[in-house]
Amino acid sequence: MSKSFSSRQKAENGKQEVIDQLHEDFEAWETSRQARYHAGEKSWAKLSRHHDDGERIYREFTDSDGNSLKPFHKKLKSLERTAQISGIENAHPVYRYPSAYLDALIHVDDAEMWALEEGRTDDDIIAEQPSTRRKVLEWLAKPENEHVLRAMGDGGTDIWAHSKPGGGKTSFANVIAGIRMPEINNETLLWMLTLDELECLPLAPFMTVAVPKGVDYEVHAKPRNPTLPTTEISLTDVFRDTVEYRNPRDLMTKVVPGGLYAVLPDPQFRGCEKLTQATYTPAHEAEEPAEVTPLRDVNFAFMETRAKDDEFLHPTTIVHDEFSDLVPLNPEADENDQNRKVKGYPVSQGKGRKKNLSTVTLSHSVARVDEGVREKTRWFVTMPKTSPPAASLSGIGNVPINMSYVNRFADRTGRAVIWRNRHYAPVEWPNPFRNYEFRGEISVRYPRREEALDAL
Amino acid sequence: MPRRATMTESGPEAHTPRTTRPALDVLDHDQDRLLYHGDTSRDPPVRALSDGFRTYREALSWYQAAGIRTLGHVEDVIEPRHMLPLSDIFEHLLAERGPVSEYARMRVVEALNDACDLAYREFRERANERVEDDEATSWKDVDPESEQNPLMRPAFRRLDRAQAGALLQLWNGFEDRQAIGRWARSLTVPTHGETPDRFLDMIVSSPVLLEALLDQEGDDAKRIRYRFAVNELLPPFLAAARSLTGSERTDSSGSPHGAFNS
Repeated sequence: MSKSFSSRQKAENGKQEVIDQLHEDFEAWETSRQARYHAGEKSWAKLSRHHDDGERIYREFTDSDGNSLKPFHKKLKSLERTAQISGIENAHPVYRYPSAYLDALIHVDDAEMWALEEGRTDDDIIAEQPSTRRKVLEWLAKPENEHVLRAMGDGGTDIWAHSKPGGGKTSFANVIAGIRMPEINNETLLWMLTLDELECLPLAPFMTVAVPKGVDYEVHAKPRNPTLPTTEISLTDVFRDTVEYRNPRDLMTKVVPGGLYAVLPDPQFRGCEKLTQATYTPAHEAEEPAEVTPLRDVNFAFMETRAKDDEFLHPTTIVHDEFSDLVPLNPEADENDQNRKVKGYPVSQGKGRKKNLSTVTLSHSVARVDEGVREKTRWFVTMPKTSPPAASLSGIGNVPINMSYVNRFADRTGRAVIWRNRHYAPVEWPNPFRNYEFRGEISVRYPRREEALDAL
Repeated sequence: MPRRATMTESGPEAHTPRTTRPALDVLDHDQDRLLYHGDTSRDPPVRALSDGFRTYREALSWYQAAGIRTLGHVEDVIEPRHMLPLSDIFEHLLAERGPVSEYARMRVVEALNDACDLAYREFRERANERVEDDEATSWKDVDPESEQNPLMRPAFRRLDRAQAGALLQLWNGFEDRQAIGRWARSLTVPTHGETPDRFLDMIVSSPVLLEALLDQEGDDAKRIRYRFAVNELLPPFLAAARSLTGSERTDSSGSPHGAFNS
């Protein structure tokens, strides 16, 4: 009797240890404008004197030397300086060919571009931006950097990173979409979650989880250390806070500029059919397993509402992981209208781009994705040990790099070559997963959906 | 054309960069200090060679500093064995030994000019990008007078400090055998792992040496330690200085064709 008590006690202690570790690792950043807004302090307008998350996030991460990341405007200045010292022909490709990388990363709209071209950096449109963005814009307005400004396109961008598993896609998305985009563009981030892994964990202290209203879910932390128990936790043990949404369009009314959101898919797919004109069947309504719509299909509805409904127009980046599952080659006209959904993706991407919607997509393969989607994508990031797609692949156009270039410059995880039909640049980024000590998986379950699936 | 034209450059007048590569300016100034001006801001201070050394300790730390600042080329003119007492060069390197010594010192300084040029040329190739730090916003702002990192490379400074520290510890002697062991272990860094084979064995198997290392008072012991430093430490220190490639920057935009660090 006493033994079972003590072993129960031990298990409790283990669970507490897991939760304590999570609290230590993911202590939420609560003083930003976005954090205060979602905590319900005041209206968005009244919080304008507080800093944005993007002005802070990069400082929480460290580079390979253990120093905290430098603000991006400093990196830009250093690029410019090198070019001044050794001449533009010796400058780094990132600076020399801004369309290869900087254009994808720095988002400017037409009005901002106009002000920058005329050097009106005192205009409210520039001067009232968060400091980290303002300094990037001021850098763009400098006469020396005119060629960079000229290379900037208007509207959203699309970056597609591809590699074998473990190639660094997730850390790329964390650093570029989660750290630099909010810093440079005060970007709003929507990270579309898959349930089995929460790939955006490094950003969790700054993140709000968007939870479908009225859906039961369980969150488990499974430490890799076998002496520690699997522990049920709540989302806020890891993430900063949560917000509930009724349907994709409803979420667009709840997000704010510069906020980072991890979006849990709605297993009931509310509002999705109306948005995409395609069939969505929740598990409990299906009569056979093939009818059940995969959860990832909600991504189509989010793309569509952001592109069409105009509830939220601030620059937004949506991250799609496992992109080749979402928009596969040769989609079938099956019970879930996969064909219609996949063919609709590039359409909504094109519409959304004009309204400052950007995408960061991650996949193993480029070849096994629908060609319409490939055609719409402008930037590709080829990770180490990965062959760039063949130029003969339909929808790709010109591929300016080859395997030997990738091998030479993307010689280890954390480096890659980013390219666009004519230009390319080697880039590297720090490992964001070094920011916390918890080792293991955190997963989300929808027990009702699982029961319904089991019953089929 | 003589690059090191005047000896009055350390005056208070505003610094005008001599090249667009600030690291080269820094190297140039460091070499000026070695030969003509001395460097009191370094710890331990570097005595100018042209003034002559007043103590063995000054001689030792000068040689070590010169190793770093000439990328090891000091050896082409003054080999470590020349730093031993009674060697023909060393006697002239000491201060206040009369006009003959002064003349000899001047010749050595002139010979070292070439070694410095060699280092300059070797480094020039690699000094084409500047090292970024938070205060200096353009290469014009880098003041070689106040730059603390030899060749503007923090790795050089770290090596310099590690070597100077190792010599200082040796100079003062050790409390017990364990301290010697710890010290010998710590030499891995300043020698870039090129400590002589069986270094510790060599120490403990020589009763005279061991005694000298443990004697923190006597002058004889100090002399033995000096010879030991010159014979056994300076050569690997020079080897480490030679192996500095100049690519160990803290942070910069990277070499033109490396990956851009996001």
